[in-house]
Amino acid sequence: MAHKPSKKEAAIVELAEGFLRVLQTQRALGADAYPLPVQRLVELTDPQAPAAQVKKALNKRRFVQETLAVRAKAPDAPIALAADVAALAASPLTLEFLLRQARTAATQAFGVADLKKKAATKLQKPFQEALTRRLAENTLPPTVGWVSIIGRPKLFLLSDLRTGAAQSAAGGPQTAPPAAPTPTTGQALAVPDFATAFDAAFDQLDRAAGGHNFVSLVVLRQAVPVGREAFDRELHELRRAGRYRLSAAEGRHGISPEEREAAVTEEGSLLLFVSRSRT
Amino acid sequence: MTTAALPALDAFFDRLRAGNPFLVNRVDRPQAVARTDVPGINEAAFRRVLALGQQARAENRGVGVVVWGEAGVGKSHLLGRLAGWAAQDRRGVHVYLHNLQASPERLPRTVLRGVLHTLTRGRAAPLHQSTLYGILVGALKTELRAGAPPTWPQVEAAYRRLVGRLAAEDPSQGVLFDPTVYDVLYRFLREAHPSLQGRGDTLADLAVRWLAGEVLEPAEAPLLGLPARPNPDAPVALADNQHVKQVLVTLTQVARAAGRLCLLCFDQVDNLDEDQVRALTRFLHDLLDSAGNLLVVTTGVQQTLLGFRQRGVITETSWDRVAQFEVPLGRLYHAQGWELLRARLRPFLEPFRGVAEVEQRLREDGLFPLGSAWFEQRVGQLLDFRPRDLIGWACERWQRLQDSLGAMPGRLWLERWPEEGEAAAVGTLSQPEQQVAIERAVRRRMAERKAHCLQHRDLLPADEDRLLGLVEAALGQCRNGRYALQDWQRVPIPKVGPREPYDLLLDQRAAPDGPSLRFGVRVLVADHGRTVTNTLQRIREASTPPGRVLLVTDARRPLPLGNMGHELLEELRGHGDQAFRTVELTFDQLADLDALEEVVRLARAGDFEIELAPGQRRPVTEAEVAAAHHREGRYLAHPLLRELLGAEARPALAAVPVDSLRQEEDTH
Repeated sequence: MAHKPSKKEAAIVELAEGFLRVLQTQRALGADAYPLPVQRLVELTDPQAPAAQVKKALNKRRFVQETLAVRAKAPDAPIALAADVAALAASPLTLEFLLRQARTAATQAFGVADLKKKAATKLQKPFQEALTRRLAENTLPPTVGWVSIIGRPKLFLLSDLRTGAAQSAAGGPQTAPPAAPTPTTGQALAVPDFATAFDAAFDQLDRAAGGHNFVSLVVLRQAVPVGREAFDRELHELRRAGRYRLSAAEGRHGISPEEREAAVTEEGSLLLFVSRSRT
Repeated sequence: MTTAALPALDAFFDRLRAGNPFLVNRVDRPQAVARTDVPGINEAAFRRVLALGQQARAENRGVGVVVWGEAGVGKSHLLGRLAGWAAQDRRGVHVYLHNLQASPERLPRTVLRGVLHTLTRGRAAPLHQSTLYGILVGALKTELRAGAPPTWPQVEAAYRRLVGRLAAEDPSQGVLFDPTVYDVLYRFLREAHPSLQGRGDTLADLAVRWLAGEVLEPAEAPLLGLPARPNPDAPVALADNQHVKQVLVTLTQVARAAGRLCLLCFDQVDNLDEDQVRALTRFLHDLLDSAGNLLVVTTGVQQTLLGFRQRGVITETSWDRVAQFEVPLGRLYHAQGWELLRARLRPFLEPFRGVAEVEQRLREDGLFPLGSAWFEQRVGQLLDFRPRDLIGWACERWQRLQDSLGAMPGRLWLERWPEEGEAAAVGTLSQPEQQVAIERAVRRRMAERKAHCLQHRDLLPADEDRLLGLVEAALGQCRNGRYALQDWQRVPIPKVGPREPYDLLLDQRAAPDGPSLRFGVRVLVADHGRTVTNTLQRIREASTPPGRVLLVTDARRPLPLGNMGHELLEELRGHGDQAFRTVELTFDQLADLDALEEVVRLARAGDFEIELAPGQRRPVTEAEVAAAHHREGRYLAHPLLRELLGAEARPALAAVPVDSLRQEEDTH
């Protein structure tokens, strides 16, 4: 007689079944939603499920038989129903994932065969075929580029591409602000250049922070190194001209001494963030 | 001056003495903005949001937009304007969700419940006057021929055609299409029909409860024609978050058929806990991926929302959907400020238009009785300012005008205007004075909130998740060793199998060396005897019962007790008051609890301020508000919290200097 599963076991089975249901749902939503990374599958099924339970559910025999992940035990690996091996092999997510898996600090471009080796065995052949086809038809995803080296294509993530220009703001570090575009660090900027330097610094810093039109005076003061009085006066002029606006520091996580120092005090408020006027 | 004008002029003076059109400086409800709206303020932002909504409707897809800016720049006001747009000619279905009190795992259901609450005005009869009924009728009209009123078979046939059409156009390609939801909606339509003169409202109400995710008795399922289930004795409810989503998707599609856009607005998301933000944005991401004809608008302080994003509380993929479009709101310029004041003055002055003296002053000065000179003097040096600040300044100016009017006859006051009411120089508040100002502001805001809830009772629905959320929030502010309460935890709801008997487990220790007492707390707001019986049974049969059990209920929904329920309750009560107690909260007590949390929540969002000097304001921190509650004994004054916190373990800190409050804040 079959034994009755414990509550714990039942929860794991239920979670594994939930994973399968969500995969079927996502499949019907189309290529934007499927395949999807394992961690997204977990989020969609039960974001509160304990990690140990998730792990066991992902290893349930039925789940393993009915699905295929690009790489086992990798939470960011794309996954699909086993029947959809072709879709998984051709998915841009799969290619991007394998490039991320393969890349090291020293090597960031790879041949098709190198990438194939990083995939689960069942996926290797269809992946190779799909990638070869994409190269022939010039339909690589926009995040991936390739160059020919000794007649063979070497693929890489565009985010790994370095050019002769200054480091891309979008790929630059978020914590340390990029150097100011015009003045030499530490050198006082001639005030007539302020507006140009401020515009350029704002653009660069805003891009680096995600392009939300919201830049802290802490980094702007560093990027446009003029004296405090001149900076505040020139900024006031830019505001008067309707080019920029300030808003208060009021996030729920408080304000640091550095932010307090950089802010402009007006009517008792600490104005810390700069936005470009769009009207 | 004419003799006939005198009584009207006296009435003007009386009104000026008694009222102040600038007292309210925040929007609590979206419907409240119409009379004082200035279309020119934030117009571009409003048009942008509307355009996105119209795009969502035209393309039958979900669109997420975040409206952000400083506290007091008009985010809630913009949502109010959207509500006005939606109501005009029934162009949209506007749902305003604010202050979601629910554990992260219950948030999707709380959202659904909030939606149904709005669509049915809190299930208020008659249900044929509800928005839900309206959109169903609107959708059906597209399938019915004009002419004689249709028979029920014709209506049903039209509804089936409608459902078939919606299935074919379903944005999820049928994945989230659930015919059961449509069947229950039809049942609602039929039972709520005015021809039944309310006789079908019970069944219609049952349909709403199922749609809202509430648990039904097994015997009620067949009344709605719900499909047979493997275990016919088990309670009936929407199965999971997927099912919640299916109901929401269905509602958006019915609204679309009725020619109405669905607007789901989440105000002040930044005051939610991080776990709640995480759960909410995941759910909204998922909903936006699946639903059509849906505009989800979230608002908050930009700095806080970006902080959530940067710390990974909101994942990149969820951010890309929920905040696919960013709409910033900025400060006002002079001309806009002028219009804002005029808009507030207009309804105040309306009854006195035609009174010669008032008309003359208005011709001379468009800001009478505030005065243009005052306006220029107050904002002339500023490049821009927040609407809330301007309203605050106008409020003070008005109070000074009232003081001066109180000190002399009205006609003399009018002759001397605008010189009367000028401000004397006032210094900034000292730190002890700030503490007093905080106390005053907290008291005032709590009183306002409570009065508001008493006036709009639907703001506090009888809902156990919400009640539990309020209790949890208050307990979270009391983990400071001040009370006998040592620690507490939320008992999770298992995915499979029956839930635990308690929602919360608390440990109290009255004296440092004294014994610890464990409390089990269950919040129960139920419509059915079976739910109550099951809960009481679980409490009775708990394998490791705590020293004391509190059963918390809402007086508006007395526990429906059958014979067995009565017996169980009596049995539990038989163990004595120290072992088992029921605490039934009145609406008044619930409003008190909500008001306590309201001020903390506002402070958390940087949206609660005191005035340091005329025109100079500073935000009050969450810790400062909680400290004020502790000092004033507000937590212990609440009958439920008093039970949970126990006696005060250390003496109240009367008149603690603000510096030490800040230190307290730093250490927590």
